[in-house]
Amino acid sequence: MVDITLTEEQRMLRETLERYLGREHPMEARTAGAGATGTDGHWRSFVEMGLPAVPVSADNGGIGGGGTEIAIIAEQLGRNLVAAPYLETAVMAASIVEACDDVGLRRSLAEEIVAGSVYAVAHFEPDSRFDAGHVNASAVPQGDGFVLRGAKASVAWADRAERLLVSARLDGGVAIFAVDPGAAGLDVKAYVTNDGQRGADLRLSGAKGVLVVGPERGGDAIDTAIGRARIYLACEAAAIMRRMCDLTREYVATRQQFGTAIGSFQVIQHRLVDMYSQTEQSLSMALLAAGSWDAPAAERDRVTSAARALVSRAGRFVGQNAVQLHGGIGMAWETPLSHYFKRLTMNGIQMGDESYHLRRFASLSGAAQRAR
Amino acid sequence: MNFRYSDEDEAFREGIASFVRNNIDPEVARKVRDNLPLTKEEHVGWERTIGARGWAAPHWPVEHGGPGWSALQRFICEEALASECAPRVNPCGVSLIAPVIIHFGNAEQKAYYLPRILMSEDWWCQGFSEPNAGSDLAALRTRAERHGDHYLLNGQKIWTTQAQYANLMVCLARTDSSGRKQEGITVLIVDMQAPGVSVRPIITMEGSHEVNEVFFENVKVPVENVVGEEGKGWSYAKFMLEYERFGTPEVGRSKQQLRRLKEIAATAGTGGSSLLDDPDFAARVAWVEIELMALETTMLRFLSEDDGGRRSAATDAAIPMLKVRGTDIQQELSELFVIAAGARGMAWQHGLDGTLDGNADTRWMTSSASHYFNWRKASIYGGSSEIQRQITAKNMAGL
Repeated sequence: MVDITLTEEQRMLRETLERYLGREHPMEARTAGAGATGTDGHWRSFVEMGLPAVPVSADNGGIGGGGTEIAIIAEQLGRNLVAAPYLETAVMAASIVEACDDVGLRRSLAEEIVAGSVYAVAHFEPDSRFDAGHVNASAVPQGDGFVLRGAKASVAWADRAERLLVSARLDGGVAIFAVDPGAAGLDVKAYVTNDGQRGADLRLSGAKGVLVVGPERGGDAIDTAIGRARIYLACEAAAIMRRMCDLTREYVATRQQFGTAIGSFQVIQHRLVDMYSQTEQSLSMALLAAGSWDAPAAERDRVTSAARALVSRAGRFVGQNAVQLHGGIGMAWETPLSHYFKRLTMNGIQMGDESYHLRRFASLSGAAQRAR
Repeated sequence: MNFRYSDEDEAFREGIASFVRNNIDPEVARKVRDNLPLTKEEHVGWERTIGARGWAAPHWPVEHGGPGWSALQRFICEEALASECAPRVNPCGVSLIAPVIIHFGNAEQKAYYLPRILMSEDWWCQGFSEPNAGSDLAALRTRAERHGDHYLLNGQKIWTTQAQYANLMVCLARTDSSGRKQEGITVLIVDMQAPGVSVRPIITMEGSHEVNEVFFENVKVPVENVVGEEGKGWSYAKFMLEYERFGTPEVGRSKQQLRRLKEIAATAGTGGSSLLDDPDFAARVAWVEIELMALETTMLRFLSEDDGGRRSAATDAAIPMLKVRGTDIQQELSELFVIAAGARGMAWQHGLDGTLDGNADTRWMTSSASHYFNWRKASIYGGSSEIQRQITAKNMAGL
């Protein structure tokens, strides 16, 4: 039976976050700044609410939440357009840490995450595009650790991170290393992203790393982290689309031209209805993907790619039309809608665009058929 | 029937293209190629370079400094300039106010303004839209009240492109509010330095300062700054927007962007592979190329009717759709650059001086999203796509 009701704890999580963000995260703060929003204050509050602990397993000192909890958090951070390293720290890094074989190291890293350390995951490289298997960075043993060489691109929040998890080739596989952001041989070129978050390109020229996941499990750990990140992104996108639909509905109901609200024109009504229906479809797919959080990789990836393909396509439609129906005012920095549009656009190309996921789904879906 | 350019046409085109190659500042051409903003000096410098040859105003009559070209030659000129990444000439002077002065202005206005417009002596801005008069332009409320030898102008304009550079505005103001809303509108030339004019920037979502709000508080506008007849502004405005519409398809510019897209896509795939080998990407690029071929051919078809002096009613009705097709193509191209850049295009150009890793070849990546965001304006300005469709529907008998 399909059950979409939330438990008491899940409802509380949503209400707590909703209340906090409604009170402490006004959109004016977002539109006032010229670049990235400061998140430090909010991050401390999120840590107090226990958000980074949510997906960390109970064994490692966390809450042991899954797809539903992440869907709730992604929805709230998305609809309030919060710029914070939650996806990087709590979804991606925490997932990688769970795969660490060394119990002592695993617990201490998980403890750091639960306590609020900001993590960034440096995996994709300047020419990897969306191929998670394309890793040229390499690691060689030195002393009691490793040294890393190579380049990593578009690493979200790397310049704010207290610890970096970096993938590199080792013994024919891909391993993951913890790197201190201040390490010698690490150059971080940071920038503000189009959606007001932080990004960086990394150059590793002999930076020291501590092995977190070895080459026999490193590739799977990366795939799981990215698979879960895509679930988060789908949920975030659906929440942003819902918000953009609502803002557009409010706007066309009040904007007067030709002596009447423009929402009384059929062309506007039909467009808005298409935006809403695509948003509903997106939310459904995002939740379906969230349900595959703990599923075997093949199943998780098949459903997640379906969700990402649909959500990216719908996001383009909803985003572009929300701006269009607002007219000039939808283009202005002062209008919150424009910031939702930018985030939604960037969301649509993070870790695979529509075309990438459509092809991946076709191939995984074909494989599932053949296995039957 | 023949859609090929003749040898003379090709030679004509090459003459213009080679002039651009030899005379444009390479840095300006690069900025245009990568969709980066130009400074006022860069704009004006280029406008004077081609203004001296009459190419800034190819549609003007010869007696006012136009080159006396056919509609086809004008089209070829636009294509040739765009293909070499020449900056687009600010249309407010040459294409908005100038045709109104030429057709409806008095002798003094023609003698004073036209040579100055041709040589970009003034920077003109367009004072049409108001907060409550966008798509419904005739609802404008800025008032000009006659007081002896001048008007007193009060009100507000919005989305005024580059008002921060401008010293003159072509302004639509209401001189009479007793009749229908389309009546009593007058075209005024407003000195942007006059007391009572203030300009407030509007920053658009990608972070650039392109448009403004302009406020008028008891601004004195001399009576001689009325262009044409008082109260006829609505018909002049429609005349101006008609001009704007023929320019906005920007076929030449899109052809240049398409070439550039293929160039950058050739190494934008995983491991430096070509994205043009990716069937989805290749199909979208192919579709935009086909759409562009169709639009160019449609333009040529309409222009040949123009040159033959036999534009049909059906063509007239369809002209607003040229803008819609043109902006759809431009916006699709801007989106394909974002897709080509992938996650690397998340970097904001303003935060990075245009390059990633100090590598100049990455400039297109950091400008791709900003241009995509910025270019959403194309289906909004100059009459939104919805309004263009509405006009076309009205143009068609029985709808």
